[in-house]
Amino acid sequence: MPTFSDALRGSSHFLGHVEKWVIAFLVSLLVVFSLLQILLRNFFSTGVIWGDELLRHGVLWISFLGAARATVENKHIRIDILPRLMSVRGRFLVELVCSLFSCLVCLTLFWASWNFVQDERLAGDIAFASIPYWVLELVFPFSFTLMALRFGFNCIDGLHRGPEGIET
Amino acid sequence: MKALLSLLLALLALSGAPLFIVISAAALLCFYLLGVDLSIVIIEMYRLAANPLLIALLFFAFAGYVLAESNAGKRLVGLSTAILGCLPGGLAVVSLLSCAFFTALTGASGITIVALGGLLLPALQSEKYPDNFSLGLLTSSGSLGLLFPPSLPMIIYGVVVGASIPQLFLAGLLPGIFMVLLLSIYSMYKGVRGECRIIAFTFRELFMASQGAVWEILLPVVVFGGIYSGILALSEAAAITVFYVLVVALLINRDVKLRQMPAVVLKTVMMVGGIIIILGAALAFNSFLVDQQIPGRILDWIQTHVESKFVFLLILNVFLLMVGCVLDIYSALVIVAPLIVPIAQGYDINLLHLGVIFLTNLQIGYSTPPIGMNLFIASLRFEESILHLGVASLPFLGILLVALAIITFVPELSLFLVR
Repeated sequence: MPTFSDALRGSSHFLGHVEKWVIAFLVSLLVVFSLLQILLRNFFSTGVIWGDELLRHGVLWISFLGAARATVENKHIRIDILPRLMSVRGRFLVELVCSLFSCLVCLTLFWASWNFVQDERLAGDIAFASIPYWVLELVFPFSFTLMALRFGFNCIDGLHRGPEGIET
Repeated sequence: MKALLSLLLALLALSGAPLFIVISAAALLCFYLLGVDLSIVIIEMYRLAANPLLIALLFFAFAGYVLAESNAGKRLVGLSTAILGCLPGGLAVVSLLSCAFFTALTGASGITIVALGGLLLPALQSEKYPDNFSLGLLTSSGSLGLLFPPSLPMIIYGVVVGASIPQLFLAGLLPGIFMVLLLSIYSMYKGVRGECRIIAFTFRELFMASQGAVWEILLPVVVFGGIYSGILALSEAAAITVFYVLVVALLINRDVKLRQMPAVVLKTVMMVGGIIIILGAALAFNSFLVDQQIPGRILDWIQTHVESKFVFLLILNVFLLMVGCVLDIYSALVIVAPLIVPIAQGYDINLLHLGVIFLTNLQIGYSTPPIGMNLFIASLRFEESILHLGVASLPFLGILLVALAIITFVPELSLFLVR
């Protein structure tokens, strides 16, 4: 099914652009806000009380979005000793198994984080500026979904291309 | 059953499944077998949001990537050549110093070899340094400088074990200088014996070079002046670093364009995200280990077999060297450090000294087979076989091992500045 695979790749390309700008925006926000806090504290002896909480959650969001992006570009930290010793066919199989396994783990993590967010929603605690904690914690189910989809896509794409399509 | 599952996970890890997946899977499995609700894994991961230091990691990494994108490397090499090029073996010493400085700023993510290797290798060859010497020097220098601030692995160690990061930076300073010094002496010896050419010193050259590099040279002064005078917290100093580097690169030197920024941000975030998600998974896995009192049990077991601190340190070094051979530095730190710290404290080893020992070992692991990252990156960059580079790095590894032994058994070297 070349059209299906192409459509997936096209939408993931579009998603990549959105991701890049969202991440760039979040990082600039973080830098500007940090500098503002330093100015306020040192020159006006004041500061935004919930500023630190905001910054720490900003880093969490950026990190998990970055990890989701790293999934597409194959930038995750890994040890790949065995595939180096294998034939093309063996490497193909091993990569397929690893992608499938990663997809399953991300699905489990999604499920766990979904339950976590539900519990937090029931608890209903407010983090800052009337934003409840569960909204901040949505980053977990969201990024694990993205990663599960991407690992799943790697599987489908690998099957579609076969052992010949493997990068050497 | 449990042994089979562990074996399966280890096999998947060696087959190239992302490490955060393998560690998360281990945590999920352990808690599942205990009958605990799996949201515990996410609750533990969410502790990441309680840590005020991760933002420093992000900011320092970003500043490093911006520097790597600019011509900072070239300028640094220019300045140190103007100062030290006239010594015997001068250019080799220049290579060591600029690699160390650059790695400190960018974290050992292979950027040093990519950014400086292509510049320094032809320079060394044209001054008649032997090929093997030059290749070994540049390969093993790709991780030199991990002990100098604002080293990202050092921040991770501080985050994981809860040590003061400014104090860690101080502790790493003398051991770091010591390693550079030993390697420099060897390089000068090779330079004299090989009758390599030296570069004439002129004040004109020095003036020109320092004009170019003055902003990069001032960066550590501004940032660490801020931290150690007590004006800035670490995360604030990191924010100032980003601001400083951006102003210098975009407005003063203008060697990075604003439209390159989103791509640079993305590169940074992928690296930092990759590290932090492993840290998150390790938080979950370690909470299981602590819950089962496993570090305590390992400590008891070791203490019944190993009595002296000396023998323990020896075993620790061999163990860490082996870890450094198979794991990259960040995963090694987040997985192994929480297990080792309580054991080391049982032997009365200072946390800061332990950090220096950890990083020195893992730095050496970067250049050792089978998966030393320096070897892979250098092999791509210089188009040489990994085996050849491994052999060329041997003398340098030997010197670093001597340095490691001294750093391990002379704690004063690490703790002198802290006290």
